[in-house]
Amino acid sequence: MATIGSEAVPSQFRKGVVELAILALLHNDEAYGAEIVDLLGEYPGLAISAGTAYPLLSRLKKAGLITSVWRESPVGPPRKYYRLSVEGEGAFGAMARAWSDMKDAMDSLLGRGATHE
Amino acid sequence: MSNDESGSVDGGLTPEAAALIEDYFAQFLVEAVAAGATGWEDVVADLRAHVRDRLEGSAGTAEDAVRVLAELGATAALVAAYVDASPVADSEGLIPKDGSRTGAGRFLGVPYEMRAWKSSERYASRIWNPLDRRVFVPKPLGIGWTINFGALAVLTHIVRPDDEDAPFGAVPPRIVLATLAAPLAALGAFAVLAAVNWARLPALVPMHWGPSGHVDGYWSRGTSLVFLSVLAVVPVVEAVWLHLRRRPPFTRVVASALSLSVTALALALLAQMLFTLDGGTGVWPIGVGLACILALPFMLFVGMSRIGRAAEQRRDLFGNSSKGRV
Repeated sequence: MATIGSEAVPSQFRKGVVELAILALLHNDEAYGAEIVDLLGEYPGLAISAGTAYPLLSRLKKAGLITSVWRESPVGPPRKYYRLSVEGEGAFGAMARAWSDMKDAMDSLLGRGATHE
Repeated sequence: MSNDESGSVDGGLTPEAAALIEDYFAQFLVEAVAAGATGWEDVVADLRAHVRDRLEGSAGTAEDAVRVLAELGATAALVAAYVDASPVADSEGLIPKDGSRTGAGRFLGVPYEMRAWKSSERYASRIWNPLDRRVFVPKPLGIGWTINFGALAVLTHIVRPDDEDAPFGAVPPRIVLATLAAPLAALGAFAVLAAVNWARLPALVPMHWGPSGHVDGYWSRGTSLVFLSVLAVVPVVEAVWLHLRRRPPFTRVVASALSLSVTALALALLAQMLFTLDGGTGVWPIGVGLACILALPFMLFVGMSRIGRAAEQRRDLFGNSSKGRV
C-alpha cells in the first residue's frame, strides 16, 4: 500500500478492532460517550472521533451487546452511561479469545516478515 | 470458457460438475441482483477463477465441484458478505444495501434516488440523524443533497449524538400527534389570509420577484391562488395521512416538520404578494419565509429530541432503576 500511517489501515479492520476495544472498556466498568472517546484517545492506535464513536455505540446497542442508562452527573447535566449486557459479556469473551489467537498468528506472520527484511 | 460449458476438457470437468458450477453461479447472480448492485460481473469472474483454480489437479468430478463450492458457502451468504464488505455500503456504496440496479446511485458525482417506496421512512432517517456527521446527505427521493438537521444540532452543541436511544422514540404519543398542530396552524393562517384578501385581489397579481426585489412576473389571480393552495395543502394532507396510518413516531414528526416547512413557504409567498400589492418594496416576506423553512423544522426536531431525552431521563433517574436499563 502506498500510503503510510493511519490511512493505510483499512477502515473495516480498524472498526472491528475499535469495537472490541469499546467492549473491553465497558467490560468491567460503565462509561459515558465522551469518556469512551477520551479513554480510547489515550491509545494512539485506537483514537477515534466522537463522530465515529457514537454510531459504533448505537450499533452495539442495537445488536444488544451494550445497554445504556441515564445517570446524574456530579457536574452538569445527566449523562448517558454504557455498559455490557449479558450477551455483550459473552460476545466480549469470544471476541477476546479470537483476538488473542489472531494476535499470536499475526505476531508470528509479521515477525517472519521482519526477519526476511 | 466454452469448454467449461461443454464440460469436457477445461480442468477435466465432468458434465455433472460443470452443471453444478453453472447452477451455483446462476443462483448467485439471482441473489446478487435481488440484493441490488452493479459490478457483479467482476465478482463472478473472480469466483469462477477461484473455482477453476481449486479444481486444478482434481478429478473434476461432481464431488470435487460440491467440495469446492461448499468452501464458498451458500450463495445468499456469499452475496451478503460482498454487500457487507463494500466500504461505504451503508448509504452510497457501489453495492448499496437497499439498492436496486437502476433506481439509485450517482451520476457525475451527484447522488440520485428514484425509488419512491418507503420514501417517508428514508426521509425520516436522513433529515434527522444526529449520528451522521454530514450536514448535507443524499436526498431520500430525487436528485442531489438535503440537510441533515441532526448533524446541525450536534455541530452547534444543541444536542449530543446519543441524547436519544432512537430518535423521538421515547416521545409520548400524544406529543407526536401534537406536532401536527404546527403545520395545521400554518395552513389555517394561509387560509384566513387568502380568504380575507381574495375579493380585493386584481386580475393579475405579482408572483415572481427579481434579485433586487422588483416584480418581474405576474400571474392571474386564480392560477396563483390554486398554485399556492396546492403548495400549502398537499404536504399537510400527506402528514395527516402518515399520522393516521400510525407510521413510526420518527416518520410522523418528520412529516409534520416538512409539511410545516412547505406550508410556511406558501404562506410567505402569499404574504409577499399582498405586501407588493399594498405598495411595499423589497422581498423581506420571502426572506423571512425562507428562514422559516429551515428554522421551523429545526426547532421542531430539537424540541422533540429534548422531550425524548427528558422522557428517557425520567425513566432512568426517577423510575424503577433496576428496570431502567434497556
